[in-house]
Amino acid sequence: MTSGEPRVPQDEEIRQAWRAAAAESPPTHVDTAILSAAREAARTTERKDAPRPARPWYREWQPMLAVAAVAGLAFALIQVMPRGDGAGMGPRATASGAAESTPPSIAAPQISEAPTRLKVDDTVRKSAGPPPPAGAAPHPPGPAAFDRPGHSANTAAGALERRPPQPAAVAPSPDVADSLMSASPPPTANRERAAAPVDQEGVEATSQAGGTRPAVETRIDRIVTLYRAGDRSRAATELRALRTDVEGIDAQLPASLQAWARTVR
Amino acid sequence: MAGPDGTIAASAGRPDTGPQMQQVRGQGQADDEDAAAMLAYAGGDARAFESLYARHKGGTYRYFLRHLNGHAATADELHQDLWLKVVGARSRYAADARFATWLYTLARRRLVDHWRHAGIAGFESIDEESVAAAVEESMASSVAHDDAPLRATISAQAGRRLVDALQGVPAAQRDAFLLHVDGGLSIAEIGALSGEPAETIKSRLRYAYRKLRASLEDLQ
Repeated sequence: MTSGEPRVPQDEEIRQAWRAAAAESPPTHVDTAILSAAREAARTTERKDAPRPARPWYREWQPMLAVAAVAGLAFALIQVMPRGDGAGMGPRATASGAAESTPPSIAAPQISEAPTRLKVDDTVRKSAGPPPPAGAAPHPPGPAAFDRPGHSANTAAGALERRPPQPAAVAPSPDVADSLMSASPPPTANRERAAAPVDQEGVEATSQAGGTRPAVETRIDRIVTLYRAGDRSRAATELRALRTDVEGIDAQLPASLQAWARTVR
Repeated sequence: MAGPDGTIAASAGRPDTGPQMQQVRGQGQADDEDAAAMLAYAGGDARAFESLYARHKGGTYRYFLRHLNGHAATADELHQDLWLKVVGARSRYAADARFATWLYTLARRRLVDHWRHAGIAGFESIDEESVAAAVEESMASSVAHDDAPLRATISAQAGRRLVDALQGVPAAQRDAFLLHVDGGLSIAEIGALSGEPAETIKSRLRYAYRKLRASLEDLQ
């Protein structure tokens, strides 16, 4: 306190006078508010310090059991999940989605016809249908089946990835990509083909024989593109090759190519 | 101390009442009681807080009231804020410093905050060196007068004059006086609290005492 410190002269009298005069104290309502808050805080402290009732033994182990259960489930899920070849989850997931969203009778041939390009995992194959015969020739993938208006839009991205690489000279890249991504109706060639008379029996026959329909349409697209690009010789080569694979394919060509097709031998 | 109904006597337990020797002897005991009461309150003993509040509420209230030129409404508000802060900080109180020092540190901070929000300059409103020089000069010229016993009548009139005179004392000097007289803090404690050397605090006190004494000169 102040004892032992350098004393200011005559300050004691001033202090006494001051203390005698200083009698103000806070008003009652302020006292009441402060003391009420203090009592409430003390009650809170008491409640915090109060011993808690004993918990049953299983409540003590509950958090650890929950953690163990979650870890076990996660481990089991990882074991059950199919292991891919690291090519990315996108195509597999899309193919799975396509297989789930398409009736098995339709999806099975589509997937089994392009085993080397689609990279469909074993789970999808098992659920979609039997694997293709060992001697079956690899077939170009068929995006036409996916960009047909009847198919759902969520398979378009997968179809884009499965589309075979187009030659630079004939690739209508941005337009084709856009049409695939938006799952819009097919371009002019497809519209013409849709208008052309179709050999229904032939198509159904090839579909039942192994689902060549998407590949046929792709190849027809390719022929139309080559023809329009002025590369008649390659278009003719493609047409001849298609004729050897599919009988009566000329009838499926667009009307604008019918006359030219008759000249190809 | 708290009565049966929880009310607090205004003057009960004031640390700086009574004869000086008794006060000096009782100061350490009061400090111990303050610290023990605060720790007991931190443990949930509401009665301990009531006794603590009864001992210090007058000092802190007047500390605000004098600094605010008698503006009671603002003093009420700041006083309540201070003690609610004490309530909130009960679990953080450590008995390694005097309770009064801790309390007035909080009070001073609250006052500075109030001044800052109100755009008032606060404690930095006076040139320390010029004040010190003026105090020394005035004291040297009136040594003979100061050595004579001050025969001021301890009356309501003298008290009123002191209160009025203190309003004319600069804030820093007034603060030192209030902490010293009302708060019961030592010069060293005031220096630590305000971040100033002890010599500066001593100069401030001399200046304040000089001004107050001058206000009572015609009563002698």
